[in-house]
Amino acid sequence: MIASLPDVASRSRHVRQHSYWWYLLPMTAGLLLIVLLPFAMNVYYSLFQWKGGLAPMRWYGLGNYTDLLADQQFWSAFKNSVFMIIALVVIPTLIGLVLAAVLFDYLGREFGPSVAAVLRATYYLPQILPIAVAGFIWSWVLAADGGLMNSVLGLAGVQSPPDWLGDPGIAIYAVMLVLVWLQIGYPVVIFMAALQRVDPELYEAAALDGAGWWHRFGAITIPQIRPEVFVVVITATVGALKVFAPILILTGGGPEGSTIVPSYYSYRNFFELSKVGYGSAIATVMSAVIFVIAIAMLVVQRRADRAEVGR
Amino acid sequence: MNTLTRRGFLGVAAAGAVATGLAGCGSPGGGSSSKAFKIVQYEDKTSAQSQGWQLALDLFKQKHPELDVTFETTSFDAFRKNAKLVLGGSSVPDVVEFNKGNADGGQLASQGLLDPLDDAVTKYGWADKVTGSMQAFAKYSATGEAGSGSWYGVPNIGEYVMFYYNKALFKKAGIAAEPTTMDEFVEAMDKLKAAGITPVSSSAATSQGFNQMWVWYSLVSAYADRTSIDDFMFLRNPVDFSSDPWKRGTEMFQDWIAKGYLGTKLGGLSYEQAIVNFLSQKTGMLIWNNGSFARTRSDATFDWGYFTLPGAQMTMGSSGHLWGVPTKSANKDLAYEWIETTLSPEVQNKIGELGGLPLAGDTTKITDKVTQQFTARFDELVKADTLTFYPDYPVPGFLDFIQSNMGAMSNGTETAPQYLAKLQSFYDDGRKTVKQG
Repeated sequence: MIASLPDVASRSRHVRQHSYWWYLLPMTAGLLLIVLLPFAMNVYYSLFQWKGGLAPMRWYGLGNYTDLLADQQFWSAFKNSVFMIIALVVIPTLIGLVLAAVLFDYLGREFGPSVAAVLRATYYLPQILPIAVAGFIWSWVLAADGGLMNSVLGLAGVQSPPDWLGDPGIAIYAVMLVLVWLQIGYPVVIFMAALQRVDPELYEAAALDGAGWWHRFGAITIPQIRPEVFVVVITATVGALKVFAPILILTGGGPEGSTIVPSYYSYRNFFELSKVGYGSAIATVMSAVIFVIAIAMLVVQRRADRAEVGR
Repeated sequence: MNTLTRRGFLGVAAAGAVATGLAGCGSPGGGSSSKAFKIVQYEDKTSAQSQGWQLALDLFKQKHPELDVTFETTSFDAFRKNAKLVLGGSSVPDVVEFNKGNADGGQLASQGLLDPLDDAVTKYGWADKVTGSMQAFAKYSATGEAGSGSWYGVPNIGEYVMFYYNKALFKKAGIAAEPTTMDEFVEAMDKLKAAGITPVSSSAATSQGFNQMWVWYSLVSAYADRTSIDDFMFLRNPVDFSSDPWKRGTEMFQDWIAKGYLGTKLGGLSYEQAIVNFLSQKTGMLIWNNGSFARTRSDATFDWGYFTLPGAQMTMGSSGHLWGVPTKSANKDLAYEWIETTLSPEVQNKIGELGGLPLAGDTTKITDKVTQQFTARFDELVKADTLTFYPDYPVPGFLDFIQSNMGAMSNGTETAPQYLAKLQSFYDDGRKTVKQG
């Protein structure tokens, strides 16, 4: 057919390709208006000393960036980002993998899918709960005197339980605990969905060959759902580098500035200290860091996929 | 789910507001048809002030049956964020409530979004109703600094900081009478401590743990005079924090922390937790403002009383939010009349009866004894001109800075001189930034 009507086919393909460009317009406009333009403005502002609003803008060149390099507070915020990655990526992903497998593979089979569904929803609940409410609840759970956590520790015989949110040496771990609780539902839900498409015969065959649960988990479950693991790790890492609301609600960066993270520090400079230029510089640096990390992870994923295909 | 419903509700409310605005726009040329008048405010409906304003609204509507009055309620945060857009837009309300201070009211005034009210103040005699320190945050300079210049706002109510105390626990600790001097107050705290009761319920979390900051500033205020406070608050003369009242107040604060008068492990506590700890009888006293007066009355299961820091020369307290008239308001004379209505004896006395600390009420007319005394104490402080505002007003970013250091002092990782040195440099930097404009 095509061979007999070469002109028409090539022309229609040409027209079609041409008209496709229009479909990209809304996306391009959106990207331009919502992402690229504000980002460019942010970079532009970061070159000035400016209080915002109608105040005069004073040219400062790269001054904000050199100030940033010497800013102790910024570096400690950056260090806290590592803790955020542990709390939002490493721990939830590891626990999420095991939980999803247990729910899907064991509880779902032993007690029926509805039990697994209820439990899955329960793990997801913290993600739905407004962070302001969660923060309020946790501030009572973690209260130093009479809080749930320390009451339990007291019953367990701990003599002087820690001041979770008040001790600058401990507060970051308390925040991490809340974040793990907050985050855990996300990998569980994604991984359980992923497990649906794993061929059950693989498990049956492995079981017949005498593989135990942990063995099957390592040899089948994890390799089979690796794409989803990548997605979770990438999105959660980006989320960890941008984490803001839990810090604002739980600690306000305290005690003594020990739980400040970069996005909160940027916000504080923008809105509290009226140092818009400096806040923009922090935001620009963080965007660059996130961009580089995301690209690096995508490259790793691409390579891993290729290796998988090549095998 | 919660946020969704709220957002949905707000959407409906906004649509409603737009609809009424449009309805109003359609009719101005109509002559006999009603003229639109829009009031925008953000008070919680249950508050004394808001209930007083409902009465004001009735009075105002009675007087002006020809007007189509809209009384719109927004939220504090929403108005703070959108004030510039709302006041600079094309359909501007006729009269608005706004937040006091350099960062909010000062900016709106200096950017020409609010109209000076000096003529109306003279015409209606508002300066006789809003007096002394209650005027301070109603006035702004051309660069938007509070404390002097033209009137841009008019407050209706005030607030002050006090110590609530548990009479049963005082008795148990062997304290016979309410302390009336600083020495007696310290003695009372010693007795409570000896009886195994935390003397004062406090908190120092960076976010929302304001009690320690209030203890500290109350102690500074105790040894301050009008000039030292106004220099600090309105950036008039440079402040030397290594001298009194700052030195004395801060050293005393450190001493109180060390002696355990204010409790321990405060770094993670919020003011809400401090209030609950007092209401659940874990502590002898609570430092807070009139904001928890009604709550203590309804929730305390014990006999209680209150007093301002005994023997103090000055006391923490301030005026409330302000009424202002947007430059683009189409009905300025009516706006002044509305403000006058909220300051009328009927409205002010209603606010007073409900415990809302009105600035122009007749305190003797309050029927409830406790509320009457509570209001009379406020009147005394205003009359003596000894209110010292809140310490975080003067320079940008001050609240977080003070909070963070309150945490450090409460944890014992920072001494009074260390804090004062940091305070000096932060305040001086901020002062320079503000003065630069």
